[in-house]
Amino acid sequence: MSQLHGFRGGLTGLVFDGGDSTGLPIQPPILPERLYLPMSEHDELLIEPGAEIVAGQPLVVDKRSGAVTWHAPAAGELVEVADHPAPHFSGLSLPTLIIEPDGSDRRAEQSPRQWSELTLEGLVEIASSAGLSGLGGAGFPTWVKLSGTDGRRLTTLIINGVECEPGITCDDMLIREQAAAIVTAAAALAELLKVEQVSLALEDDCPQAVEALKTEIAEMQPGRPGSQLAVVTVPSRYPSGSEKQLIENLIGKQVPQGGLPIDIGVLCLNVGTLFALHQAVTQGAPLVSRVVTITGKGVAQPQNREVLFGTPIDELLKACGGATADATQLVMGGPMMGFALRSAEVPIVKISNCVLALVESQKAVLPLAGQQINHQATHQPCIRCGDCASVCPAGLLPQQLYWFAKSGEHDKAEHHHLFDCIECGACAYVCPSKIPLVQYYRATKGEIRAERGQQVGADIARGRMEARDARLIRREEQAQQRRQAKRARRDSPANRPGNDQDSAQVDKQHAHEGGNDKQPVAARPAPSAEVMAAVNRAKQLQLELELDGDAPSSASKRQETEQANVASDKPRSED
Amino acid sequence: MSAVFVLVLLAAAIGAVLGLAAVRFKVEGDPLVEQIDKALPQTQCGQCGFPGCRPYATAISAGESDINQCPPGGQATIDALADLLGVESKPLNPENGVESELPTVAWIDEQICIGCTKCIQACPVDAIVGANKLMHTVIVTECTGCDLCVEPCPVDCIYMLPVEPTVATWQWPLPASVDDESTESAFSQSPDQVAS
Repeated sequence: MSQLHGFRGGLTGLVFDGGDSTGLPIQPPILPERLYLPMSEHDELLIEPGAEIVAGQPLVVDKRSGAVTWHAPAAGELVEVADHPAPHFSGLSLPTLIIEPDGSDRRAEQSPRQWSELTLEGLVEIASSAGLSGLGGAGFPTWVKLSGTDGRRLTTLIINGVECEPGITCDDMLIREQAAAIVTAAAALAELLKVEQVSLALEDDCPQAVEALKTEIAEMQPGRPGSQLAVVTVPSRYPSGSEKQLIENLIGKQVPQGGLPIDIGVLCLNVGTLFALHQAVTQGAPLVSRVVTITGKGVAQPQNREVLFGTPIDELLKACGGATADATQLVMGGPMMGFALRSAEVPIVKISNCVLALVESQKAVLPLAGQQINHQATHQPCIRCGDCASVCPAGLLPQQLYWFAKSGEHDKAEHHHLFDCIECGACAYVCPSKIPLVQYYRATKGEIRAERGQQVGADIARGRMEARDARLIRREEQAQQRRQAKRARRDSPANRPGNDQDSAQVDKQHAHEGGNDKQPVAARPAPSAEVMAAVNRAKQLQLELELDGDAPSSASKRQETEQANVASDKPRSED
Repeated sequence: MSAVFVLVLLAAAIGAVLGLAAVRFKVEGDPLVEQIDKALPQTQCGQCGFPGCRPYATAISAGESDINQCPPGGQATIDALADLLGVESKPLNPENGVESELPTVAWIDEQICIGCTKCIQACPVDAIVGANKLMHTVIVTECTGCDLCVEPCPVDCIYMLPVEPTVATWQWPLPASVDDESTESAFSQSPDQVAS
């Protein structure tokens, strides 16, 4: 582990020019007037709107797994579930839990545990019920990650303290302030998972955090599991904080395509996630807040702050001294991968590691957010310089992917491993023509996913169509059989003429049973001319008799039969 | 003489293998119809003039129908069919309808619905539930947006609504393209040349 293996591509010397967010210690959370917790389509609300809630109470669970999505960040009242701008690129709204905190410190009961008494199963259960998900940015459920190690060979545990993007300092600050807890948790987790090697990875430009970790490790008595912990510093080269790139850098192996780190015996946890896991274990505390970096030239006091989930960004900015007069754009996420916000009411969620408040001059240099902001602005033509390919950390050919995306050649784009693109934005950053490359890739990925979805829908529709056709044919066959049976009965000696009344009753009965028959007319033999003449005569006779006020005769009985038959001839509607 | 003998023997052997293969690996149905059917959007709307996607696929395969009669699939489906059949692509036949921009889904105004079951009988994919004299409703996830239930409704309470994008279905748009395409093409080769 002493040497680094490096990873391909990447950008060095990337500096975010936006003020120092490490000047202040991590600030305590603010209690906003309202908290907004967005729900996804798989989420299920556990309590009714209008109910009183206490801090730490589970509010929303994932229907599929039962893992808790949201705990109440503060005590108060769940006012309603209503649409609210979501922390999403699209700027669309999601059904959102709106909570009005009452400022009290009523809190759900917590059950602290010891690391030493836990099994892997117990830890997975804690991660699931404490609502832990990756705080690095991808939001992968921690319980899934942990349970994935069961029965697999695990050689390395990596605690990722490398910042995702330039300008973000929340991991750095967390390590500086919580080094003891992080080292304890890393050692305990390593023991629980029986891992040979634990690497605490940091960037080389945060000496204070490195120092804090080294001190804590040294303080652990030798012989305790802490002795196998190693602090590894990696040169700051974007995107060295990305999980796949960090693993490649540290152990020299690539995560297989479409696979997970556990496939090569690695478990990688963000340092924030590890700290949250530690809190969940030792204090029984669910995940209700995270450390967020608020920075950029558009904010008065760049800083890191612990923020309750659901805190709207405008209130968060106010707590950081407010936005400056020349601030023009809010971005959620870092300068490379962040997305422009259309509303300042968007809440902080588990994956929100950074909020940028930018001034006009900063917007131009941002590869992703900047391009999205200047969406209508056109770029220069590609000059095929190949710079994008040399910086791509995934080893793709961005220029080729660009052509395929532009011309809608989806199969070729997929063939060139479009889905291995981690959307880091390095290609767009170096592009001399300022082509918003990642946006092309994102759009094409979306189109391909939509096509796949349509294909699934088409298969379902085809199945339903075939099932319906089969049902209609089956029903027609059944009707046919009934008609044949009826005809056979009519032709049998028992139903010869003279038993008219009986046959009428039988017909009526069958008309009732066979109400679903669609075309009963076709099967009935057309009455011969003689019969028709007889019917007409009978009608004539009955008319005369009725006029005379006489009792019905056998002729009128005959007519009853006809009427019953006519009634049964009427096509009935299905079902 | 031996040459004739060898050839006859060879012919007999190959014939036997082919005959065996024809029996052993017999494909049920027409595989081309399957492939065409797979390329069609399965809306089952009948706008092509056939009672569903599969009959249309059968007609295309038999050469009785043109490939440009599917409005729900639009140009993408026509291109896919042209690619599959090795024929020239062509624009959608306006006699069959126009390509809709947004996917739609049927919606029944339950206040007005009289429960006549006519729409249930019209639905090709059984996406409407209801019973006689009880209000009906559309199973949105199963509805293909084919329009066939709108016409039979005696009280006109069925509407085709566009499907609004949600956070889950929203897609990034492609960036605005370069204004001056001619400048670009002067520099660039076609992507195929570069790929090879």
